[in-house]
Amino acid sequence: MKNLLLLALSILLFALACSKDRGIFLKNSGIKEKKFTEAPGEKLKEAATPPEKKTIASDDDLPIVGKQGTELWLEPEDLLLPDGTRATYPIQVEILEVYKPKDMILNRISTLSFRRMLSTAGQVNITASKDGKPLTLSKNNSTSINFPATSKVDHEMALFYGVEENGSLNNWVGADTTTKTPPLLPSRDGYSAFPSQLGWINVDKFINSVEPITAITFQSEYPTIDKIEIYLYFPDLKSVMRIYGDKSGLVPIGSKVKLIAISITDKDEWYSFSLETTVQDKQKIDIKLAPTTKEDLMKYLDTL
Amino acid sequence: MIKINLTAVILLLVSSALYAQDKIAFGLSGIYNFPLQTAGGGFRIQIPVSDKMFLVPQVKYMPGFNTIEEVFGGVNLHYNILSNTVSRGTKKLVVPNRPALYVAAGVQYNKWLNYEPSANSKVKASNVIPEIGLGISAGTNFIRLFVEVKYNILWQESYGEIGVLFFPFNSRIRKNNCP
Repeated sequence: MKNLLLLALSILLFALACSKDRGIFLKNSGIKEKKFTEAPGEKLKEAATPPEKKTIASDDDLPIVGKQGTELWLEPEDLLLPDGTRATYPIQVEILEVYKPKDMILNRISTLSFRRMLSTAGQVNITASKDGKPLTLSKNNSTSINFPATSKVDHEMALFYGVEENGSLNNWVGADTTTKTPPLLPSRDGYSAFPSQLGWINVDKFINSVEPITAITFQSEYPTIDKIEIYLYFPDLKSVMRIYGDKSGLVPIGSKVKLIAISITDKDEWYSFSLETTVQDKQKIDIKLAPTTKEDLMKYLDTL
Repeated sequence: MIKINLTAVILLLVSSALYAQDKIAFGLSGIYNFPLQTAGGGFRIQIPVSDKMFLVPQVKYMPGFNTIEEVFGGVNLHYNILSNTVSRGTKKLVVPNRPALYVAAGVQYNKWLNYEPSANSKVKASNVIPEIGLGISAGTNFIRLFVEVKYNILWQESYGEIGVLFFPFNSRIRKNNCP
């Protein structure tokens, strides 16, 4: 038994030890001869897990359960057609579950509400349609979504809705908490949400950090920053920040952060840069992209 | 001549003589970094801390014929999980030809002499790296072979090391093998 364990350990050592990165010199990567695409984010989205498509034909099909454990109770009497009439079975539903940092990055999501950092317990994007016509939730509805807890249930969590602009999710707005039923209730193994709208729905809370805040500045010799998708992931805060331009939003000094920068050439060659650091006041980070593959990058994102 | 030497080595290995506990040892080794395919050499001192534990300061050099020329200096702690010692009353005695299997953990200072920025952004010209590993050693009271595989946790690189340990201060007196 002991020898088997040792053998397994030895195999593990070799299996893990596969990094040849130190032998790939940046001067030889020929990066300056490459033409980088203006929209690497679109390529990232293509690498994201697509939403699950389900048809609800009767009450027996409820709840809809996503691959990551989200439960959705959605009945046609709660759904309105564009002309204001109530929907009937069957209805088509698309559900996209975003619980892992990898999925947030690939879906280009920031957990920010009016530039303030949110700590997230997971997000879903739910759309419903009837014969191709989009459906909306009626004002008084009995729809509920059960979010599984990926870590300990946090009683300070609240419900937020995503605001999209030009097809891009760029803000989270807190749900109305003055209603008779609270929009979010913690349960033993997750959260029960009672949304007033479909679309992007997020279980979050504002981060509690008392540390002073700063903005991180990014620079890249080649390609220019505008051709690089940059994300900051704060593992202790469970927060993701997408960077627009060369400066981050305000982040707490002293917090642990993982930086992921991705750029893609017009020939679909993938380049990346990653860095794990602790946020310092007025920090500047020089992004040095190195060649990678889409598969290796996905493996790295899985480790976040 | 070769036949005689081989016979002598086999005889040495099959005889289960007992000796007093190991004293300080000195070692020379050859090293091969598997992912980078670079080779070099090392020198070490093995200091016994207990009958199962050893402190091993070491230096390593990967010469300029490799793409990466670098030196390492550090210390490892070895712990025998399959021991080559036996108890005789209150005494612990060493059976040198019995293989000792050990786990190793330590820290190394690395100086990359011909440093160039690489795809591994964690690596600088000077680095401090933690490592873990597994090794086996066996031989005679004065000379033992060792084979190790180590894993650099920070850079996710593994390397193998094969070498010889010399025990110049070990007692020459064989202990009685009777119970």
